[in-house]
Amino acid sequence: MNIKAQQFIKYLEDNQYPWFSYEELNDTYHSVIFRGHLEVGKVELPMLVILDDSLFSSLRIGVYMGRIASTRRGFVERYLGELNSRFKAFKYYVLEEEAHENIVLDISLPCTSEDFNPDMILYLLREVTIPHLNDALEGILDVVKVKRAPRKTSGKASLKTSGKETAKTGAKRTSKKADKI
Amino acid sequence: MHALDGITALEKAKQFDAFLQEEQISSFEKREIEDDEHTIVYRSFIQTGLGDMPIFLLIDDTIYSVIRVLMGSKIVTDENRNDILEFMNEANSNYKNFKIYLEDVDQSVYLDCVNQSSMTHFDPRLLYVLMTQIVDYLKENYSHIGEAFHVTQVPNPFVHEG
Repeated sequence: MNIKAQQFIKYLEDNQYPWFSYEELNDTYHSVIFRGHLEVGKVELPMLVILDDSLFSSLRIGVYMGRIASTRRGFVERYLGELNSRFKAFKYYVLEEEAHENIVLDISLPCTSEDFNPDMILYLLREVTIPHLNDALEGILDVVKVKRAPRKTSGKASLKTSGKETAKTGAKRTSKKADKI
Repeated sequence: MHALDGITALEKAKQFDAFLQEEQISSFEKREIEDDEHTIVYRSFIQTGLGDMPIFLLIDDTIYSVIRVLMGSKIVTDENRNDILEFMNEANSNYKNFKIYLEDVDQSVYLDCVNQSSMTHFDPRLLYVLMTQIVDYLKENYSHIGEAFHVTQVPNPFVHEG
């Protein structure tokens, strides 16, 4: 198992955090996928933490899974592009599956195995991502023209925000005036 | 959970300057932006088959350091918008190390790679590795990018500089 995953499992066990199950993939990067759910308002969104031998740890949230009408696709991509421009920590995109489309939110955490910090994973999920989705989810579903939010799923405990302010995290966009040097 | 406020911009810049000196890298210009977060910007250029693209490293007092490439200044038109949106979505779903997006204010296309540093650790070498990966991506994919932009050369973003 890759070093980051080992550290994350130990971190979850030491802190008795119940939010994740995990699966080892037999791939080139010795990936381990941690699965759980984020509680955003009254809904649970599926989330993955993907840890491997590469420089990148990935947090992935399934914001929407279903059909996006072809007439809405352009609007959706433009709206997601606006979010990508506004929030530097987040990357939204549409992932096509066989019978439906997923709107995915990725947060990438570049770091070496030596510098991997499991605290940062939980911080980004609880203090940055959940508050953001509390604000943004309704707008995304609105542009897809979905009449109701995804149903709450049963099962494992969901990760919730701790309620701390994120004002200092700088999740919002960096001023483009800095590019004009 | 303890707060994870970043190291100050000034301290990060000191470390990055030391790294550049150690590696004898002289291709960056540096400027301090007098904003609330004490942003410091390093700028260089990437030579691609579409022309030169400015690459910036933005560091500030927050936990985020941003590597940003201006891929196409004011490049988006009614004719190429859909192709660019499709290209951006494809790249964003296939590459985990950066995101590409359109800035509506000036109809420009940017590539961002965001690194989060902790309270005690800022890694200039990692940032340089990330920049190198971005450079490789742009050099290997410039043809595909040019097709999406409907151009063979990207506009000079500093054409109005005095």
